[in-house]
Amino acid sequence: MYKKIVFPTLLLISMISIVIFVSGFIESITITTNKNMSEEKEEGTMDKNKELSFSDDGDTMDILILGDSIGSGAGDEEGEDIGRRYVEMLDDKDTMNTINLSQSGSKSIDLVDSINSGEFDEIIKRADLIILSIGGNDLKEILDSSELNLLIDYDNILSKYMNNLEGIITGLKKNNSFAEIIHIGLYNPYGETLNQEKINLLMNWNYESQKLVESYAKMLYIPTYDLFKYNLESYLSIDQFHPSANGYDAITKRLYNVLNGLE
Amino acid sequence: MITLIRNEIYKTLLKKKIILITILLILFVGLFSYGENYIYNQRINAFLEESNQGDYSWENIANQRLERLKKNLESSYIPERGIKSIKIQIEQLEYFIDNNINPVTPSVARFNVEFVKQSVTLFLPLLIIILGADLISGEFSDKTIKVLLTRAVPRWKILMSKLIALLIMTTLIILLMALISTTVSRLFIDRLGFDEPVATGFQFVNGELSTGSVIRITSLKYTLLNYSLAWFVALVMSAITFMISTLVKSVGSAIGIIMASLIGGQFLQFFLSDWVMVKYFYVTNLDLTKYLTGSYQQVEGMSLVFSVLVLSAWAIASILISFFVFLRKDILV
Repeated sequence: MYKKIVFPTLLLISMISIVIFVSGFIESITITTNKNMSEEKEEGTMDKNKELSFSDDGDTMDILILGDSIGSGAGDEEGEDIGRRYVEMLDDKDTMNTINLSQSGSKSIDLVDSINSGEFDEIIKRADLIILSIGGNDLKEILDSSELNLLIDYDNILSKYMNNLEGIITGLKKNNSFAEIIHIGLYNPYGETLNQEKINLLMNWNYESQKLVESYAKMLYIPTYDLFKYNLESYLSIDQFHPSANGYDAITKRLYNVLNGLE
Repeated sequence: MITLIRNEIYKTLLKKKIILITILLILFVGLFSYGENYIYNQRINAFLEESNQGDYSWENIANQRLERLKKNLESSYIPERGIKSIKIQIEQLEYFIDNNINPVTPSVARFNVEFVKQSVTLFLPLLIIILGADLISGEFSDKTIKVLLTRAVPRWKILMSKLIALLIMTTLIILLMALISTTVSRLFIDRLGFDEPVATGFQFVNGELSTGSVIRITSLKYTLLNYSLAWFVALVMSAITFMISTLVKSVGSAIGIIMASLIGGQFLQFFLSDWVMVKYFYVTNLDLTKYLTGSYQQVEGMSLVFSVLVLSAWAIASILISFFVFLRKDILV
C-alpha cells in the first residue's frame, strides 16, 4: 500500500514543480533580455545638444550656463534658469542669447570630461558670459554620508574637486579668454539640521573655490550661502534641496548687481 | 516504461542517497543561516558603537557599505576586474537606496536567493553527482548490469527510464532544497520577507551597468526565478553526470571525473578569462543566477540566453553520447 502511493505522489509533485520551474525559467529569460530603451534615449539628448549653438550675429550678447541641476534651473516653478532670468532683468533683451548645457546630477569630473571632449568648444568660443554652477553634487556626497571618516573623505573629495575645477577653468579659458566667467557658490539647503562640523566643511569648500576662482582674470565668485541662510522657506523648492523661483531670482539679482552696478 | 521508471526511483530511494543529500542540505543551510544572522548582528553592534546613535536604519548601513566600497575603489592595489565589479556593486547599492529597497536586513527570502546563488556552481552540482554518478556505473560495479540487460526490454528503454528517473529525482532535489532552506533558515532568521520588492533586470551596455530595464518584483517571485534557473542547471548537470556514468565502469571514477571537470572549470574561468573558448565550457556557464542580479561577468559577451544555449548544447550532446555509447557497447561482465 505504502509503496503504491509513493511513486504517484512523487511523480505528481515533480510534474507540478517542473511546470513551475519551466515558467519561472522562461520568465527569467524574458526579464534579462528585455530590450533596453535607455540607450536610445541618451543618444537623442546628445543630438539635441549638438544642434544648439549661438547665432553667427556678432552683435548679440551670448550667455552660456554650464554645470549641474542648479545651472539647469531644477526646482524653478517658472521653468526658467539663471541665464534667462538675467536676460529678463536687462533692458536690451532682444540682443541676448542663452544656452544651457547643464546636466542635472553632474559632478565636477563630468564637466571636466565634457569640456575636454571638445563637444562644447564651438559654443564656449562664442560665449560672452559663462555661468558655472558645479561642485554641489561633489559635496552632497559628503554631507549625506554618515559620520564615519568624514574628514578623510572630505579632504579626498575636496582635492579632487579643486583639480577638476582648475581643469574646467583652464578648459574654458583655452577656448575663450574674453568671456566673463561667474562661479556660483554653494548654499546650505539643510538649514539647522546640518551640524556645525558639516557647515564648516561647506564654508571651507566655498572658500577654497573662491580662492581658486579669484586667482584668474575675468572670473568672479558669487556667494549664495548668505542669501539662503534666513530664507530657506521661500528660497527652497518643494524638494527641499534645489532653489525655488524666488531662490533663483535672488541669485540672479545678485549677479545683476555685481555685473551692472546698483541702481 | 512507467514500471521501469518506478523501479529506478525506488532504487535511488533505497540507496539512502536522499538521506545523505537531506543531511547535507540541513547542515549547510543551518550553518549559513546561523552565520548570516550572526554577521548581521555583529554589524549592527559595530555600527551602533561607531556612530553613537541610539538606533540604526538599513539606509545608514547601506550608506556605510557604499562608503567602504567607494574607498576600496580608490585603493591602487585592486586589479581592473575588481574595479569593475566594485563599480557595479556601488551602482546597485545606490539604486537600492534611491528606490527604498532594503538590501541589508536578512530575511528568509533573501537567504533562499543567496543560498541558491552560492550553491549553484559547486554545491548543487555536487548533490546531483551524489544522485546520479552511480546510475549506470553502479550497475557495473555491483555486477547487476547482467541482470538488467538479460530482461526482455530493449536497451534504449532501460537507459531512457534511468534518464527520466534521474530528471524526476533532480526536480525533487531542487524542491527539497527550497523546502529545507526555507524551514531551517526560519529558525535563525526572523523576517520572512517574501512580499518585499526586489529589483532585477540589470543589464550591461558596453560594460556599464544599465538600470534602464530594471523592474521590481516581489521576493517570492524572485526566489522562484532563482530556483527555476538552479533547476535548469541541475538538469544540465544530471545530463552530464549521466553521460560520465555511462562511459566509465566504476562509481569512484565517475565522481572523480565530474568533480575534476567542475573544479578544473572554475580554475580555467579564473585564470584564462581572456581566452574566448572558455565561455563555451559548461562550468563557466553554470552560474545562471548572476544574470538576474547583474553581477560582474568575468568573460565578456555572455548573457543568460547564451549560457542557456551553451548548457543545453552540452546536455543534449551528453544524452546523445550516452545513448550512442550504451547501445553500441559490448558489455562483458
